[in-house]
Amino acid sequence: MKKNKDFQFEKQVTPKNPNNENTLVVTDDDFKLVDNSDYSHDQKFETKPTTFLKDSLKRFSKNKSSVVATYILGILLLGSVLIPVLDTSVVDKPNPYQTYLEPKLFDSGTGFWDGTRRFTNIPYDPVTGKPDPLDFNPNAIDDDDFQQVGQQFTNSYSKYGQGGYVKLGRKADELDKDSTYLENIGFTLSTLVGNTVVITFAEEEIELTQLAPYRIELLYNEGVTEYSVLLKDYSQDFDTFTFDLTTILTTHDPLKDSYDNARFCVIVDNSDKSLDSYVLIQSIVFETDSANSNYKEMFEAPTFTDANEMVGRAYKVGNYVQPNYWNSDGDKHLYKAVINSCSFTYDTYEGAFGIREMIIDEMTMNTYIQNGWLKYKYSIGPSSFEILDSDRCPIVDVISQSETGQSTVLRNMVCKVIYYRYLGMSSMPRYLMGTDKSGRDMLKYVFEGLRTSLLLGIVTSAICFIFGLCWGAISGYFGGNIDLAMERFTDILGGLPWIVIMTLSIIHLGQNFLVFAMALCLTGWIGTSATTRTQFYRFKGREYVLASRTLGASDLRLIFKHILPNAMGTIITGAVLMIPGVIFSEATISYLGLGLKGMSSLGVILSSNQGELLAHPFLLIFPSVIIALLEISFNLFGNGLRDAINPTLKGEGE
Amino acid sequence: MRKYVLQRLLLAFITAFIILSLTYILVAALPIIGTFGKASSMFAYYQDQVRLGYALDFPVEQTGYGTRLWYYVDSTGIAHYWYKRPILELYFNWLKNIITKWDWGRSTQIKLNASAISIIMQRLPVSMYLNIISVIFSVPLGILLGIWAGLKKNTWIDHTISTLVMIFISIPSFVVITFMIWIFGYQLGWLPTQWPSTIMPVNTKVLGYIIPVFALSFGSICGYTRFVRAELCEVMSSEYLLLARTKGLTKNQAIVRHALRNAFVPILPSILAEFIGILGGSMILESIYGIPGIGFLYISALNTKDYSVLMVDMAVFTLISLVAGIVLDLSYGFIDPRIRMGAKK
Repeated sequence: MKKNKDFQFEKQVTPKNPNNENTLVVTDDDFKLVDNSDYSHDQKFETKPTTFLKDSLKRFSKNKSSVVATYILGILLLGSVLIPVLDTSVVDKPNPYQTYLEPKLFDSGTGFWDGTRRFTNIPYDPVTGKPDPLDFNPNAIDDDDFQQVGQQFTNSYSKYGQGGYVKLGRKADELDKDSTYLENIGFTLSTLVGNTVVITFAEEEIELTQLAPYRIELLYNEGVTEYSVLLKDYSQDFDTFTFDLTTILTTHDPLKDSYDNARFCVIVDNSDKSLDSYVLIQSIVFETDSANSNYKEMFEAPTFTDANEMVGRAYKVGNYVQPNYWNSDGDKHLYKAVINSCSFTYDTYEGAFGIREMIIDEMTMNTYIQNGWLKYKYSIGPSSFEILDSDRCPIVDVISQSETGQSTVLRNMVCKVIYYRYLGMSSMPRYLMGTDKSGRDMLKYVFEGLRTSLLLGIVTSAICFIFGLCWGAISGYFGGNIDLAMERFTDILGGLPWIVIMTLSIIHLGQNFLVFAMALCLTGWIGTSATTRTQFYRFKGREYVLASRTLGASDLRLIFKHILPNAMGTIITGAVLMIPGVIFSEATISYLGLGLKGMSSLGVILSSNQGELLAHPFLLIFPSVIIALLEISFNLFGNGLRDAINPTLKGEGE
Repeated sequence: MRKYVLQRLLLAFITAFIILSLTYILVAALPIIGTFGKASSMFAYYQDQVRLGYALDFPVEQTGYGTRLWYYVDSTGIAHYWYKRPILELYFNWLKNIITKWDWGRSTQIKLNASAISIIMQRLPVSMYLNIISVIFSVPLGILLGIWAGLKKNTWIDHTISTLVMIFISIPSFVVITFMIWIFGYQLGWLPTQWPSTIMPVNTKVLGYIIPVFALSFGSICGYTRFVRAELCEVMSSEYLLLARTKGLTKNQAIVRHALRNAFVPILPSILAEFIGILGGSMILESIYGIPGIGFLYISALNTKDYSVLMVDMAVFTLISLVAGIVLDLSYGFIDPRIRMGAKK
């Protein structure tokens, strides 16, 4: 239609002069289009119109790393919301039966992330060939992987250790002490029968120390006065010595036949301060000819031939229970005891929840019988045991039954029990991130911590964003003296290191969520306000603002309708990039031991597990990985967002 | 320019004064722990407090002076009652003591009755040595990596460096330090697992510097790499560099004479500010590795509630950040006269 109209118009304006002879007559045929198809005019756009947001999104999706980061961030966010809700394990109170379970994702035996742990240099019982069943459930030890490493020396008591010496010397912090003693707790000594004591010293050099001279005495009391009989004067002979106590005491005082509070005493000379000095005692054996069993027992109590065994045994003299019969005012400890050690792979889940021997009382057994899981008759005993429901019955086998005649006393059965069923679980649990020292499921605990951290980050950033935006907008829009005053205020506030603000808030107001959010907000908004102010300065002089102002737009309208929408992109990305900063600050202050109380955040978890790094590194690895992932993906996401919203800034600060 | 410098200095002084005053008043408002140390040293402490004007000493118990803090009978049989003065009085006496005697108060927990400033002075060298070594180490390395990445822009070298920088900037420093101690200290056994004490042999002491220096350097190496790369990339795409090439300079000449010089304009001030930061200590690193510097001092003063030491430590950190800010701003103007900080239009 338009085409025809144009031509008509052309035709009308064609000059025609009737006075002129040579009239030019132009007809339609005089005009020939060169190419009919080449006639172009305004056409509808083939592409769809785009908005600023859509365009930004397109630019954002081109940045691969930011997209990946966004997905990771999404997963973490989703996890922090869903996992604490979906995971039903209890993290509020301790679960002592499942402490320190290794992380398990795959079935055991896979070798990686399977809930097993390699133990090395664990002492084992030479009789059974297995480590202590109290610490390691024998069923959970991988027999194929079990290696007896051989003999090793230890300086601390071990249940399966042998031999060793008692090392006696000065305590490290008592430099002014010239001598230290070792004496047994006094006993009554009668000279009417033959009594002897045999002491063996070992001569073995230890690096950076020396063997000290020593002296042996026999001490006794008469009333409150203490007397001593010298058995051997200072010497450095390290050998076996036998003292016939009866003969010595008879020659000492022929009229006295009983000695109270008699103590055999080894005194070590520590007067040489140049090196640490000590003696090594291999054995002290008290012997008596007396047939009286009480008297004999008194002599056997302090006797030791195996230093390791002596350290471990609890002595009982009369009613007095003494874990160690020997007294010393110096540093007395076990030295160089031999242990047989082994290395093995241990399935922590099997160990905690697998088959174990334990005592089941009659009431529990009755419940199982009522549930119809098993058949058992107390009158017949273990042979009557029969499993009815093999999928749910916790008891595998009854080994023995205590016989009690009275009907009021409950009978106890020693049984082989599948422990997770005993605890009421339908299958063996599987903890992706293991459990910590109080048996908390780390997966749930870490994600709860993540939730707290994220919440703190988002709440703080939101408050800072709103406040900073208002502050910066006022300061930037009005300028002049208002700007000057506001700027000086932020200067002073910004001069305060955040750690000082944090510390002061914590000591004044306590360590809870609101205080943390407040303290982080106190200086956090300055960044947003500075960005907003700069943006306002940039846009407030533009022509479109001026135009709007001349048309009578109010300040509010200018700020919210004209300046802010243009400045928003930069400000928002700043606010997004603030979230990881806040999480970072919170984690740091928590790691220093000043963190949230009564709530778990990632920093609190890392801080409380700091000491477990050596024994259970996974307790630190998982929270660290999560916090690192969070920070990396937040930063990548923020950078991507900045590039997308404000393409002119691309490449800056990458 | 001179006017601007003076303005900045005056403003920084006022800022520092306000911050420290606020901090002091907030700290002074905290309740003081009643007893610490032996009775005789407590007596000396409170006598000192009276002398410095922070407490009042009465021979008889009186009311109306706030909470009674402490009661002591000295060797001559005279009873002493000590009262803490009101906060504003404390504040003015504190100011007076600093101005007239350079006395910042007495330590209560870290080292009873020692002056707080002397404790800081004792701890400062350790932090300083570590920071100096790490600056010497990190600044050239960071700049070199940044130049390398910037020149090889959009190659695998650039991508690797940028990714690593991204990762290391994002991972919290305590995680890096903890795992460094775990791997190199415990698993491999190459380095000491904590700061060697003064009696350790020299080689252990030298090895003890490795983890702290690395830990301190990571952040600034990453920061410089990122900064230098960004600046260099911007300069490399500028017209004057193209002109330099067209007038016949080789690529190396163009880079050294034109690109680097201009790229360093914003970088140099931050290096200068870094040197001011030498005085500060990293709290995280020092408390994890047990380094007796002022960062560790801050944490232990905070945990033991030794408020005088905490106050001086806060003052040190505040002053460092203020002075670093001034140096950063002023050096921009000195290095590039075109940049006139504080200019009106």
